[in-house]
Amino acid sequence: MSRVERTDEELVGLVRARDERAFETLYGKYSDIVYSVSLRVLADPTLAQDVAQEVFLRFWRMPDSYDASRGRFMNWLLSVTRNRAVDEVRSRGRRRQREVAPAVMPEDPPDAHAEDPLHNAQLEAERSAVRNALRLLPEEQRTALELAYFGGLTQQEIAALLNQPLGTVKTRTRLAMKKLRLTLAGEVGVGL
Amino acid sequence: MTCQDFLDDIDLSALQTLEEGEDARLRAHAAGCEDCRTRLLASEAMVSTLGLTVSVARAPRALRSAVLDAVRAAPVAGSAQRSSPAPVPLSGGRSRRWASRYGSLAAALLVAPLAGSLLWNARLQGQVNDLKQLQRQVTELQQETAQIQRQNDGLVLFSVPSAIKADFQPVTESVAARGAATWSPDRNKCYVRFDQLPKPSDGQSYRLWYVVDNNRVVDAGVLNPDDEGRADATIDTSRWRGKAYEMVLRLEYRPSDAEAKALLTAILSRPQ
Repeated sequence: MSRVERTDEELVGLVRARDERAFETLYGKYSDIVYSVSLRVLADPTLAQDVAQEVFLRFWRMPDSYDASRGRFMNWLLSVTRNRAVDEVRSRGRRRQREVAPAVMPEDPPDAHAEDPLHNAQLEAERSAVRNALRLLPEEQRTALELAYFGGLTQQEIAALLNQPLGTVKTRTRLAMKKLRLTLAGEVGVGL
Repeated sequence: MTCQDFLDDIDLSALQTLEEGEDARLRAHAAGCEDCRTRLLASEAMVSTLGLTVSVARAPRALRSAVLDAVRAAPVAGSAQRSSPAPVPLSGGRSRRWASRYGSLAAALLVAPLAGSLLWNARLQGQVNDLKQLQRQVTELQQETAQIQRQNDGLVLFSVPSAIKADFQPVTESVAARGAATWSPDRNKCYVRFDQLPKPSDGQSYRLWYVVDNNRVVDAGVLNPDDEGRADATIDTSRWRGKAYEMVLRLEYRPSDAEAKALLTAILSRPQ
């Protein structure tokens, strides 16, 4: 079995044994999406690069911070990246709540530079499923969800931004998540 | 806190969108309740998939170098020996050493300028290539940043309560493309976006026009859809004083092409 055919969990095991090539393989598989999530939250290529670098190096230094029993590696990596980027937004006071990207969800082709076509195809299928599920949401629910996820805003901040009661914003966000969960049940690799 | 209270806000906690105090109470409950902890993990995994919806940008090469160089920089047993130069063996008598020395010197004098020139050229070429690569990356980043900025403009406008919104309507039923416009007179901007635009033929391009209420037609520029047929633009509306504006997206060979087809139209009207 070649290295690119190993599962992420196997590669993480090799990284724990200080296998640089396994780390490089994981980097090749996820660097684009990690950088892109960071870029979307921060809207600053330099900061996005810094955060992506920090996420990968932190994983190399502390591979045990990923616990396979808590979910897939990719979910963990995306979660760590988004949270780190949001922390950066909040700590720098870069209040992007007025500058968060809208509900435009382009469908990019799989990354031609990544090393594993099967991985690309699986990733693209998941991306497509999530995007479609998001498209099915009413615009106000999708906006609330995106402001929370990509803008890193609290519900109170979103309510102030949209000039809506806090309860309304919470309801929209809850409904959005509920619908996403129902739509995506069984389609993406998360425990729903 | 009961499990039901926890479940009400579990997704908001997974999104990390609650105020610190609220979130701390939920997390404290999860710490002591295995079922709720498991549900929170599932919700967090669900939330993480939202990251998949981003438009994927290529990670810069500099990032790859920075990350992998840092990983390789970790000390590896035996690396010091590999880096030590191998000793050069001495052989032969004095005359052979003289001959060898002068022979080498002569060869060096002859070859050095040529080799130096070649090396210099190669190095220059390498630097030129690196610069071109950097230039391409800068251009890509500028394009990505501009796109994000446009999208940001769109959401900002969408969030403004006084924004005027309109969907583009297809001129004929055969047009599958869709679009929407959001105009904020307060912010002097109008954001338009289109989906499912067919790829234009060679020489054709999409051009957006708007018609002011005195029937003056104004060119708002060319839109270049991506491979998926999406395109967007932000229009400066600081000179818009009229009550209503009709926007028209046309597929044309040149500006004001009489044969051009109007595909989509939208009317933005100030409230009465």
